[in-house]
Amino acid sequence: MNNTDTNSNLLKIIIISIFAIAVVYFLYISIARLDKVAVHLETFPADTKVVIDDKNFKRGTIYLEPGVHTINASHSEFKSYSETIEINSETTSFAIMLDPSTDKGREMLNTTHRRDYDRARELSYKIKGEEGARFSEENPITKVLPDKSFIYSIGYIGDQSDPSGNSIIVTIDANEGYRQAALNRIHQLGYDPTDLNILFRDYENPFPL
Amino acid sequence: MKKRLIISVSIIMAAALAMTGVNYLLSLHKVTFTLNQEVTAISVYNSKEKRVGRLASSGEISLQEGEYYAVPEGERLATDKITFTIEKSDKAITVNPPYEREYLDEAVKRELPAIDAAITAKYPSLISGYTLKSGTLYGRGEWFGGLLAPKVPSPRSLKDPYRIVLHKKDGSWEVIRRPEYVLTSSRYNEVPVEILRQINTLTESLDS
Repeated sequence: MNNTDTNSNLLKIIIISIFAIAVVYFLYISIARLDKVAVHLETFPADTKVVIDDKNFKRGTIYLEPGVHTINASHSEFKSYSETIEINSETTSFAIMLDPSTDKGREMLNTTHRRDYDRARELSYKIKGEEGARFSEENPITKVLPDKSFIYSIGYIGDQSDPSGNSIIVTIDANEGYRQAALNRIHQLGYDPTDLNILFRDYENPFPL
Repeated sequence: MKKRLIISVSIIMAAALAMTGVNYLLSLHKVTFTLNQEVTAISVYNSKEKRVGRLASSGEISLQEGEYYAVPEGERLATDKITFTIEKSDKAITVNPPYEREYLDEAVKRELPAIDAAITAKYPSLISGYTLKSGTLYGRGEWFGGLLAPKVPSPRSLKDPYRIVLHKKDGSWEVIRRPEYVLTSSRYNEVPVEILRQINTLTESLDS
């Protein structure tokens, strides 16, 4: 066997090995991302340290399992931030924007990193718009509330028991004798109180549980 | 030449016919109807009010995608339309219609003493302040809904009525949760939502 053959075989082995490693890597990544949602994470500042459920992430496309996640974001020149979010199949992106805590941070916000800030803010507005549309779609009655008259006031508050933030509790402020009128009003507005979560303010049910 | 043309056209037509037939057969979905023992028959109609099938006992009907309704038959049973939609798969439908309103309105008179007793037993110290009104039976007479109207010293004293729901199990009535101004499906999840909707529209005008 001459040198040319040896080199040729070595090259083949290297190519096949690279191909095999690529296939294994691709399979590993595909399996790791199975049942996960691809989400675009935007941050300001761009080098914000993001920890989601004790795992570190950077801005860009990340893969998360559907469900509730705890996010902690921090940066040496900015105030730390923490929140709980729910990821579902419809989640496409979320933005984390930190408030400056030092002069350097303020300078970053106003001058040196302004473009990063504008980009994150733009995405944040877009997400808020999408969330608002989804919220209205899931709670159409919010489009006609609050509704007030001399005898009652019908409004709504967020249902804290739903981590998605998309559920509401309809609130009724009415004195004794006018609560049924408020329920009738909800019917008139085109909604069935049967399907709503309703809270009467300043009221206690006299019947024991 | 002419013979060849006729044969070719015939083959094309036969193929088209076969394809249409196969297409039609593939578009049919099996709909399994399970009839409650009191249901003697059902007739199934399409959205154009044309009868597409009838069953005298539980069984299957093959239907294409679309909107349909079934009308049950049986002594004392309500003949309200049971609407359903066939999409891309087979479907199973249980036909268990309620009794007709006239029968339930008659039956509630017989049940009221037992219902009153069940409510009194549940709230012995409170019930004297309320009057049970607009009591109505639902379903097969196993659900009861009514208003607990607070007794007021004068007509000028305004009080809102509470809505109460009871379920008959093993021959005895039981109060389901506590009375509320409105019975919501999230709180009263053991009660069929259609019954809750009807109880929530009861008014005091129909005293029982």
